[in-house]
Amino acid sequence: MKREHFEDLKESYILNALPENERREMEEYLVSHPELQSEIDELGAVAGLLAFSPPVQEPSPRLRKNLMNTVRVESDNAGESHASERDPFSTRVREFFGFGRLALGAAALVVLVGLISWNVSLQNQNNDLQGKVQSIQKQAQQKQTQTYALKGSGTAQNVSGEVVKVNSKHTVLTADDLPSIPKDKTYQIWVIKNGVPKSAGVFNPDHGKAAAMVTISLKNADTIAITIEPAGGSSKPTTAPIISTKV
Amino acid sequence: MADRARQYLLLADEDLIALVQAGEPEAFAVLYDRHNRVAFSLAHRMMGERQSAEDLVQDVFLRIWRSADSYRAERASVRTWILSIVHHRGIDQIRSTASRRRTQDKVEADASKVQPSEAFAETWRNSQRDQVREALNTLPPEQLKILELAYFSGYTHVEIAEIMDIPLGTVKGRMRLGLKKIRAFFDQQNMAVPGLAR
Repeated sequence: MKREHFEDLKESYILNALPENERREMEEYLVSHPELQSEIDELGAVAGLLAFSPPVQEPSPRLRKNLMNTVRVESDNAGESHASERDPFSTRVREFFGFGRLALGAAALVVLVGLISWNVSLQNQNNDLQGKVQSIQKQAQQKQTQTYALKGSGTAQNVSGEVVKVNSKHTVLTADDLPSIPKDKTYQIWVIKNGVPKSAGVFNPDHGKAAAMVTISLKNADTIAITIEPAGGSSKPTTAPIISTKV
Repeated sequence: MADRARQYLLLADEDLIALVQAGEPEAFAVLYDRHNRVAFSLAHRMMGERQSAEDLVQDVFLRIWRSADSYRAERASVRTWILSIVHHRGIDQIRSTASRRRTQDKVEADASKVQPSEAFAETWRNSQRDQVREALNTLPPEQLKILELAYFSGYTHVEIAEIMDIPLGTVKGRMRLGLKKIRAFFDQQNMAVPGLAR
């Protein structure tokens, strides 16, 4: 493939619109010209914007439940297999000696040393992972945050919660004792700037508790408010706010 | 456990991915909660109905759980990475199954020659969507339609040329101009293209 052919096909490539043979040619060309990868990544990000264009749809809660069931089972199994990966050391040594092969002492020593190194390596890997997790957890605790207490009114007067602004990009809302709402309704978050409410996400509480991302920036915002809206949310508030906080 | 889950809510996506690599289900749950809607919306647009879209999203998030170490922060944001997996897996499935839906697309493609695409007429609910919508609204309908047929319906450029009854060179040209125009929109507003690695 020549450079001009690459230029001719790159848009089709990043839109995934090349027939198999041309796609393979492009990928081979990219492997031999890694300096072009950043151009492809950048073009890919532009094409990727199309992914944001479909109307917002909500998957069923069953999907989350199924996924989390699988993930938790696999996580538990992985924990067990990490433990059993360390077992072969004792198991194999036991088997080895159980068969009365003590005469092969020299070979055993080699196997033993190998297994011990393997065991140490597994433990190191495990320690590395644990260290990584702890470091990120510590990071979460130490983040400089701004917190705004939520205040409820009417049916939501017992609500307690807060909006936590982690940084200019990430804001999280948590709330307890939220009144239950019908299935065809949802809670909707609004960030109000100069009196104009902008939707900042929807959420549905689980046993009165909820945690949700505030999906737009709080820059220049006066107030964060929550209303009850038809499922899926509204483009503008259709009911009065029942929970709010000044920012 | 609840405290930990709450702390995870404060973490950036890249940190959550590191925790998912380490096998933390709670970090995975936060990642899912952040991105499931946009992933499902794309899957629904591509697959055309809820059940197939849910199957696709399930497949994608399990891949993320099992292969989080394939994420490269220098290449794209986590959200863009997730959407690219939805997109690639969706295209694979469409190409392996879709003949009826393609007939439907042909009808829509014909209609698009005389009227603007309706695909982006929905109201979007957050500012990123608003920016993207504004950018896409700057495209002539024939450019937008070609991008949609390629991106959402999995047609190759040759197939698009056949469906729309135009030369292959025109398809490529419209793709190029369409993407260039979207890029120019963000440049003119001094905005970064959402999803590019920071």
